Amino acid sequence: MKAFTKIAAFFLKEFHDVRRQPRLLLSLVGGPLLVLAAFGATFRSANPGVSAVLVWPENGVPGVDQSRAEAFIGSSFMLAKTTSDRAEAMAMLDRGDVDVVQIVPDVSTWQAGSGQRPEIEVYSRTIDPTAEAWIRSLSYGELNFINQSLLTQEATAAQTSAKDVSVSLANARQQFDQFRQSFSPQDIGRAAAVAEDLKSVLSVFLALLPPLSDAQANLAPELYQLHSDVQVLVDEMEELGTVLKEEDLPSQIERLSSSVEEIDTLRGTVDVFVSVPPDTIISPVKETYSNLRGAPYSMVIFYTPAVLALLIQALGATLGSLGLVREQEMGSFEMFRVSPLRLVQILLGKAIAYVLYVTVAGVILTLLLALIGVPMPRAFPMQHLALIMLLATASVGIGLLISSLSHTDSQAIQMVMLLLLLSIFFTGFFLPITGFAWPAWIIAILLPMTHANIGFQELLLKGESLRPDIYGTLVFLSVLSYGMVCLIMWRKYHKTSG
Amino acid sequence: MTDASLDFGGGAGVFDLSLSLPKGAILGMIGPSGCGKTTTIRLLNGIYSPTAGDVRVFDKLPARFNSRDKERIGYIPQQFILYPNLSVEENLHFLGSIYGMSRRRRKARIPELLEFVELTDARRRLGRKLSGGMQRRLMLAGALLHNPDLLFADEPTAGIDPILRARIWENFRRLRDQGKTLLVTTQYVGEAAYCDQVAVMRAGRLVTVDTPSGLRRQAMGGEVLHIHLRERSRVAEVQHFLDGLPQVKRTERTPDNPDRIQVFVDKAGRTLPAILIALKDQKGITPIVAEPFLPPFDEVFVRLIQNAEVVQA
Repeated sequence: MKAFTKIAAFFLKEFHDVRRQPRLLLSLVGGPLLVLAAFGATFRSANPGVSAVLVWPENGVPGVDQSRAEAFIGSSFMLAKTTSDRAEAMAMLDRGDVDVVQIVPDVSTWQAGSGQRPEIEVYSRTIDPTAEAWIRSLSYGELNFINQSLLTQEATAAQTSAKDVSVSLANARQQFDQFRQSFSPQDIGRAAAVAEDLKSVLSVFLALLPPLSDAQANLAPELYQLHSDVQVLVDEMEELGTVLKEEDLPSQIERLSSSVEEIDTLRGTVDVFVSVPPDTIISPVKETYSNLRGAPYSMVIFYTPAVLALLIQALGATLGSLGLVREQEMGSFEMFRVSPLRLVQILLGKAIAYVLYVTVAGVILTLLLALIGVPMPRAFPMQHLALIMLLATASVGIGLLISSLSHTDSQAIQMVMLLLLLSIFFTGFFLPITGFAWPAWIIAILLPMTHANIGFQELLLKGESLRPDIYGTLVFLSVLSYGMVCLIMWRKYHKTSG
Repeated sequence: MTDASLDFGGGAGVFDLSLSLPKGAILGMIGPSGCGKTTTIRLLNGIYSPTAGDVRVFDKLPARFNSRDKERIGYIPQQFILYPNLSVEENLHFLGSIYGMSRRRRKARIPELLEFVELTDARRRLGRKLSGGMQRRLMLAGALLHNPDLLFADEPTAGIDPILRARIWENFRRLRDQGKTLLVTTQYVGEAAYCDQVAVMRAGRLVTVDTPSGLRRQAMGGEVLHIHLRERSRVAEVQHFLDGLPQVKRTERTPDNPDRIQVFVDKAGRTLPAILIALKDQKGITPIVAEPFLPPFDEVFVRLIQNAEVVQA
C-alpha cells in the first residue's frame, strides 16, 4: 500500500504540474496541429517550382504543334516565355529570371534513316538536387514527347510510301507472272529491268522507314516485319538479276517463281503495315493503371499518420526528457534519497503520468484529425488506442533516457530536437528508408515513430488490422529504453562519493 | 561521528570529524560558506559515505538505512526544492506521500503543520508565488510532516529577515521541547545562542563543539567584565592594578572606547564584587559601570577561528 502511495505521489505531482502549464500542452499539441491544418489548407503541389524558357525553332518541329509543346512543358514547369532567340533565353538564365532554358533543335530537314541525332539542349543553374532531378526527369519526358511526334510523322510518311510500294509490287508481280508463263530469252532483259526497278523502289522505301533494332522486334512487330520483308525482297531482286544474267532458262523460271512468292509475302506485310495506326507502329506498348483500393488519398491525408506519430513521439519525449533532469537540477533527488523512496517508484510514477497524458493527447489529436478529413479507425478503435499507448510508452522511455543522460534541461531539449530531426529523416516520414544505407535502418528501427507510422497508416488509411510485429517492436523499444534509464539512474541515485 | 573524513580531493571535503548529537537537543553547526557543513549533513543522512572513519545514526551506517530508519529522519536541504507549480497543500501531500503516509494521515497532519509554520492562509498558493521566508517554512513543514525523531536542517534561515529567522528558531526550540533532535547548520553565528550545543567548523575541520556559553569562554579565555571609569587619566593605572589581582587573567582596552577596560576572569558573577571592593579600598575608585559582558557571537566566532589558525600554524 505504501509503495502504491509513493508511486501515486509522483503521478499526482506530474498531473498537477502539467495541468498548471496549459501553454506547454497547447504548444506541444495545438501548435503542430495548426501547422498541419495550415499545410492542408495551403498545399498545392509537391513539384519544385521551376521556371523555364522554351527556345522553339523558327521552322517549327514537324508533327509537333508549338501550342501542344508549350502545354506539355507548362504542365510541369512555370513557362515564362517561348522564343526562337537562343541568346535571349540564355541571358534570362544568366540574370536569374528563369531556372531552366530548353532549346529544341531545328529538325525540319531531319530524316529517320539519316543517322543524325539532333539534341534538345537543357541548361540550368540550380543548386537544388531535387530541382535538378526534376528538370532532368521532365527533359527526358519532353524528349520522348518530341521523339514520338517525329517518329509518328515518319511512320505516317512511311505508310504513304508503302501504298506506292504496294502498287509497284503489284505491277512487278503481274509482269513476273507473265514472264513465268511464257518465258523466252527475249524476256530476260525486260525481267531484269523490272527487278532492278523494284529493287530501287524498295531501297528508297527502306531508307524512309523509322530505324529499328532486333531488340525492338517485339515492341513494333509490324514495322520489324516490314523491315525484314523489304530487305528480303531487295536481296531477292539482286539474286534474280544475277540468275537472269548467268544461269539457264529453267533456273531463271524457277527463280521468277520464288520472287513472285516473296513479292506476295511483302504485299501482305505492307497491307498490314498501312492498316495499323501510326501511333501503334511507333509506340506499340501502352500503359493501363488501376488502383485496387480506389483513389489515393491527398498528400495531406497521406502524411497525417506520420504527423500523428511524430506529435505523439515528440510530446512523450519532451515530457520524459524534462522529467528527471529538472528534478536533478532542482536538487530534489537529494531529498528523495533521504526519504524511503525507491528509484523504481519515482520512475514508475512519472512514466505512468506522462504516458496517460500523452495517450489522452493522442486520442484528442486523432479526433481533431477528423476535421481535416482523415478517416477514423472505426474498424479497430482499441488497436488504435493500444498503438497510441505503446508509442507513448516507448517515447516517454526515450525521453527519460535523454533526461537521465542530460545535465541541464536545455541539454535535454537539444537532444529532443535531435530526436525530432532523426525522426524526420530516418523514419520514412518524407524520404523512404529504403533509400538509405543500412546504418540508417538501425536508427529507423530504434525510433518508435517508424513503427507507429506504419501502424497508423494501416489503421487509419488502409482500415486494416495492426501487424503483430508493430506491437512487438514498440514493446521491445520500451523495455530497452526503460532498462537503460534504470541502469543509468541507479548509478546516479546510489552514488555516495560526492 | 568518529574521525570521519570525506576527501573530494584538492583540499575539499571534511576531515577527522568527531562529534555526537545528544538526543532531544539542538546542535548548531556554524562556519563560513564552504567549510563542510552540508557535506557533514550528507554524511549523516546517507547521501555520502565517509572515505575514512565512522558515521553512525540510530547506531547504524547511514548508507544502510532501511525504510523505517529513513522515516525517522526529516531533512531540509539548503535550496527550495519543492514544486513551483504545486500549491502549498499539494507540495505537502507530495512530501507526505513519498514517506508512504496515507491520505487520511496527511489530511489530519497538514493543517497542524500549516498552523505550526503559519502558512494556513497560504495553503492554496502556488510554490512559485511564495516569498523566500514562506518557502523555507514550507520546507520545514514538509520535513516534519512524517513526524521524524531527527531533523537535519541545512541553513534553513539563509537569506531570511531577522524576524522570520527568530520565528524559525522558535519553531526549532518547540520541536526540541517536544523531544526531537535537531542538527541545524547556519552561517549566522548569532544563531548559536539558540542552540544547546554548537559545532564550529572551518576548512572542513571541526574547530570545537561546546555550549554557547562554553564557546564564549573558549574564545575569550574566560568570562568578561566591562569596567568604565569616570577619570580617563587613571585608566592606565587601574588597568595595571587589575592585572596584578590574582582573580584576573588579563585585561584589554577596547580600541573604540578608551575609557573602558575589559577584564578576563574565570567566573564573572563571582569575581565582580571582589574587584569592585579592591578598586575602592586600594585605589579609591568607583567605576561608573562595572558589569559582566557577553561578547557577541560574531566576535566569539572570529576569535575561535583565529585561535584555530594560530594552533594550526
